[in-house]
Amino acid sequence: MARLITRKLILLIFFLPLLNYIGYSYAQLHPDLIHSPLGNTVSQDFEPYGTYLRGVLFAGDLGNVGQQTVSQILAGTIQNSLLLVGAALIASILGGLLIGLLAVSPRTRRISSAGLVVLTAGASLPGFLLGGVLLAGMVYLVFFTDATQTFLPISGYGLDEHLFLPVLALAIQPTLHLAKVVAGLLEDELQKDYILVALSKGLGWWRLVWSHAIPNMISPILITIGGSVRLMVGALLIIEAIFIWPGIGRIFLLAIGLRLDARPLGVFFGNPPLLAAIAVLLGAVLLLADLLFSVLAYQFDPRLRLAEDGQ
Amino acid sequence: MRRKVGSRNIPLLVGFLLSGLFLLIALFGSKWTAVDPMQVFNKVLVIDGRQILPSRTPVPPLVLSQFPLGTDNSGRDLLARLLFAVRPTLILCFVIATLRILFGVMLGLLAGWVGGFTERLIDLLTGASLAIPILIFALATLSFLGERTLWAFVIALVATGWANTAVFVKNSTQVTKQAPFIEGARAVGVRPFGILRRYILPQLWPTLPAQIAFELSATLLVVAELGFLGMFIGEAFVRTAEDPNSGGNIAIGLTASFPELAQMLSDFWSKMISSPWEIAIVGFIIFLQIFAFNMLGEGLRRHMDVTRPRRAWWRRRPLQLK
Repeated sequence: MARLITRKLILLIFFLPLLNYIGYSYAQLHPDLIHSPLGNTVSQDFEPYGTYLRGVLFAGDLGNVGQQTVSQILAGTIQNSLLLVGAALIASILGGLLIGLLAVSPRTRRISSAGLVVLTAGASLPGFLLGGVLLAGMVYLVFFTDATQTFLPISGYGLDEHLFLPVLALAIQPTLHLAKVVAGLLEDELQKDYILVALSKGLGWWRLVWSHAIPNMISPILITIGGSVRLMVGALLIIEAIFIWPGIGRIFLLAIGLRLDARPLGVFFGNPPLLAAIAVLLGAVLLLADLLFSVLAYQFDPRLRLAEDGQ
Repeated sequence: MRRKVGSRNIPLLVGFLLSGLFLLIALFGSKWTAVDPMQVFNKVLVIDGRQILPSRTPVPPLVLSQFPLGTDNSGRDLLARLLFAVRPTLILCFVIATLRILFGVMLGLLAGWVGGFTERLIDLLTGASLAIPILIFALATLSFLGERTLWAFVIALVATGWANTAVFVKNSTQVTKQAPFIEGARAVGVRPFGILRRYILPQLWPTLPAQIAFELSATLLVVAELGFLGMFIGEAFVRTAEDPNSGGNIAIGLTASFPELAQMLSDFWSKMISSPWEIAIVGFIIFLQIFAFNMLGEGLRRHMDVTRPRRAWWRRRPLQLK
């Protein structure tokens, strides 16, 4: 356990400065900024990496974007993004476990074919497509029928029903992916001999699943959940863009020079301190999530601990 | 009489039928329509007594028999565009998925077979590739490369995309390496390369078809996301509209000439207002295609799974002792 944590922390300490450097030099080397007369920031005007790094280390100064400082821009947006990802993660864990356990039939101890088709269909449904189609449908109703208001708020930030559509779009694919994994693991587990013994003792279905099958499946499930954090951080960019959620994904899109409308790019485009900070943040979130779920897997699965100690 | 449990492989059937349909469209779709997918309709049409210019006001689906699926937001026939669009997208996905599998198998074999420093190096690369969300990496790479060619997409999507296959191949190789028949082969003097070719690779073949299908669906998903964000292959031009304030023209969005599925998802905001059916139809087609590949992969995986009580005519039967 201690070895695992140390190894992952060393990785963290090694990777975050690297990401910082990559983010900074990416912005400095970006060809559009060097060659294009349209780019409104010229990257060569920015201080070299050494000066920036000294500023960060000794003065805690993360740099400026236009009139604002990087920390001002990122402070609120991180919170908004974490909120969205957190809500989606909780929804997908609960939903995925429930659907996965229900998909396996107690009679045959296999996933039914219909269940498999539904799970695969759900796991193939990209959240941004679902979000886009729902959005377009609601706008269509307002424009082409006599509805005056959309059914749910379609964009913007809020801790009320504003959360519903972004969380749905963000969580749908990870949820059904997790459900599919859980169902597959449960199916494999139920073919084993100890299940026959438990059944012959007359244990009930839920007792069998909960106290015998689940403890054996817990570590791959936790690792899948860790993977779905990665899926969600990737999808966050596009979901925040669709629902105009003021989070870090939108800032990232602006920073690498993408807008969904054709207006000129703002001061965010190719700002080296901003990109360096975003790269470190995203990397930290991903690595910490990986650390958390590996530690949980070790905690709950004694077999992994034994394997580690036996080496 | 009871049927044997699991004697029908529904995922494989559905996957084969749907993927076959898309393959047919990719091969022959362009011949099924007489309409040019790039032609903008500029003639005035009359719908319900109203005069409509398709290039200004897109025609909704099922209104005119001339446009069964309506027109897109530039006034081009959506059905014809869809029939032409499947081929370039599928070619792109096939190229990327094949290269991912190729690199994944090579690096996975190397890591599993050689071990030592090579293994640790490849493990580090795999870990780093797995840690970065592929969409973020692809966006950053494409923005940096600045060009929207096939090779830019291949670099952006293959550079970290091989990792899943590599992990899988490495684990499988390490398991096979422990088997007694490898020891036997060594004992009779088969060279390492011979062992790799004759004993280790054949263990991988049955799992590869499913892996390719899953890789195709993963690639298509990322390609669609990139297209949605305005990163697609092919030339694009800026759509303009008259500005009521100044009298001049202003840019309102990007659109492309030759149709491609991912590109048809782009320009979301103006489509959402002017032609929402286009988003719904193209979105559904892409979903269907991802679904087809996933079902195919799932079906193939179950088909090759020897623990299931079935036998296929082309799966090798276990050796019979006489």
